[in-house]
Amino acid sequence: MWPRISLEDLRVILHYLGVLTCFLGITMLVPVVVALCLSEYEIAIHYFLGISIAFLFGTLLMLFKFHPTVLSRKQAICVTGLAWVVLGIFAAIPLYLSGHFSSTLDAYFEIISGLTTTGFSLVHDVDHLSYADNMWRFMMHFFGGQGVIVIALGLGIFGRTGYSLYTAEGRSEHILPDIKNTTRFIGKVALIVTTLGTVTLTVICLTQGLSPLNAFFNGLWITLGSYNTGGFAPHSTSTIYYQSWPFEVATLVVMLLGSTNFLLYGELWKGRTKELFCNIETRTLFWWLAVLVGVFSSSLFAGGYISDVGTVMRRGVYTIISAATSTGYQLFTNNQMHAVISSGAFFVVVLAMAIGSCSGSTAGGIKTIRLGIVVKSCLVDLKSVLLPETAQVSATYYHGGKHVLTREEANGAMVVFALFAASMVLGALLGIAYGYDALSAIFESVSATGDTGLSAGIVSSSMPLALELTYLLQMLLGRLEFLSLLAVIIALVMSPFPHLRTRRHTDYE
Amino acid sequence: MNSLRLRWGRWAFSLFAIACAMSLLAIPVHGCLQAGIAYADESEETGSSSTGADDQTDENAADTSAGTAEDGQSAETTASQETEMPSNISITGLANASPLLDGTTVVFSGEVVGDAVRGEDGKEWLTLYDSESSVPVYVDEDDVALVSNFGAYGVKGTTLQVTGVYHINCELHQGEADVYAIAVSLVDPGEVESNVYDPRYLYFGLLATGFAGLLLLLYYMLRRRLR
Repeated sequence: MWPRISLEDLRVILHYLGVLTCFLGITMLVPVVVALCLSEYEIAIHYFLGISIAFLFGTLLMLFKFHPTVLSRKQAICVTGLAWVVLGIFAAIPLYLSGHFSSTLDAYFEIISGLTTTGFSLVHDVDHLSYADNMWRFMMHFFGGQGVIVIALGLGIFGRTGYSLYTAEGRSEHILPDIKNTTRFIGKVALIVTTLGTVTLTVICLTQGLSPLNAFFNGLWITLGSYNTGGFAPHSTSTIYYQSWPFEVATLVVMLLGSTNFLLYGELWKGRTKELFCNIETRTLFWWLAVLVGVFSSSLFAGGYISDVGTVMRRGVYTIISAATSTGYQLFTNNQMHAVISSGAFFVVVLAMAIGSCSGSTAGGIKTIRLGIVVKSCLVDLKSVLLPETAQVSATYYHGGKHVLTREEANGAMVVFALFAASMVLGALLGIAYGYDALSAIFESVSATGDTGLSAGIVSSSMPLALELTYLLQMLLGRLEFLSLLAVIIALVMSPFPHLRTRRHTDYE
Repeated sequence: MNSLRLRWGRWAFSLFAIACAMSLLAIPVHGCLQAGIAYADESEETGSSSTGADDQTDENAADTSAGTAEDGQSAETTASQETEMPSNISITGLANASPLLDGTTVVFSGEVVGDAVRGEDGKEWLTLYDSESSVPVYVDEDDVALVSNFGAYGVKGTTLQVTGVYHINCELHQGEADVYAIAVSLVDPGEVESNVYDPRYLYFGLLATGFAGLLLLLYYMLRRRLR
């Protein structure tokens, strides 16, 4: 029997969505302050309008329930799944009013791309976008990377409701015993990395000749984009604009820090350095990146266009790490992607985007822990075939301590693996059906599902509507790791037919 | 349980295998398309009619001509390499340029956006932008003095015409696609635009805030009464 949402469930869900919408309205004060300080009064009014609409609808939704009880697991999954969709609508209002988008859907696409830390951008003329609008775009990366629900939990917005919401957003690690402290720990790590990253990048930007104001904002935005593995950039030439290898190295470090499991930070905080070297995720990630960088570099050399080791190291390593961490900053232009990079190297980037990086981090993709578990599971199966039938074969892995690999864990990893693969294939087929080059269609579909944001040129304001909606869905599904959002969709679809299954069941009896 | 696991496993790997197979199939297709581009380019060079029906080649040609038409400059856009004359091209045309344009002298116009970024040996980087794309241009420090307005929010940047050498894979800058300026001239100094706002947004915002305040009051009153 499929789960359904009762009227009481709906009232609770709408109430909490209202709370989150009001919270979103409060966060819009940041771009308002930026706009007022920098004399962008027109933009300040856009955000004022955004705040008032968010509060109006937020309060309306809150009226559905006056004394909400602690959320059940089903309600928590629905709140989480719908929060990303609903908040995106209100967050898109000021961006659409900026006049830099062809349609409201494009503005919504931009917000969802920011929230899911994908980094696909449909802004027209990003170089003329206001500071306040850019601030809002990068704040979306921050909310999405840290998790809308995690931030709300850390601020105590949901009161005693905690664990079910935390897990519904695709997180499961217990860094500290209770959820509130865990979310606050995640927040502290983000604050430290963001501060250090901003200072470093600001100094580099100043040495590159940027004005102090631009140096600070560029430093802050690129740090937010890198740490939250987002990929938005305030300039149309992405990170090429800064013309600085120290800048690229600094962003690489921040990207890797952002794509590291928060559990690892917790273990290192407790002095357990063994975790860094033994954790199945970090080990898989290391070997996976080594293989990808090796193959990508060889392919660039063999392609004949690039023969310089420095170029391969600078652009090759950056591209692979940017893709694998699902950040999506580019050092290759679109025509270089087609003309200079060989199709083999292009395919390596696709693989990097598909697998992604660590779970429990801001990164997207299938995640290296699942790759590690699937590989271990395959080895167990192989051993069980070769050994006598009576032999008990088991495998262990290290992830916050030593664990025996259970069938449920292997099954879970394979299910998510399969769902990611299915989404990537279906999105690619749609792109191919629209007449795009097969490799570009696969590239874009994998990039959307893996929340990477690297583009082969298909994602633009002129792309077909069906493709835009598909990429939107893929970004959301990829960020919530499918199960939360699929569960919400199924529950919402099945809820209007409460007697459907019961009647059939009765007939059968 | 074991059979269930195997079933999931088969399903997962069947889908993954399909994805991999599709991608692998796409590689030769992509290779063929690239070969098609090269063939078409060679055909154009030798004067024979082009047979490669590739989008990218068409786009480049279209952009080159479109850029010329848009800029309202010389109508002669063809055969730059044959005549050794710099070819007029739009920035969008450069952004989509084929490797054939590598090392050729091009002429284009665009608005300067962002800041001037420091380069090596007294050089600076400027980002020039047309209505769709942008390109990094490596210029002398003296040329930067021509820029009175850097394009940003509320500022229309100085428009420059640049004659320079295009690199799709610059060796000096480790594989960057850039233009080394030979000559830079001022087209339009740009201007600071006035900050105009629509008062309707403000009125609507005030109205919505009023309603939101009333609803919030209602919410807390009912919440207290229903406790």
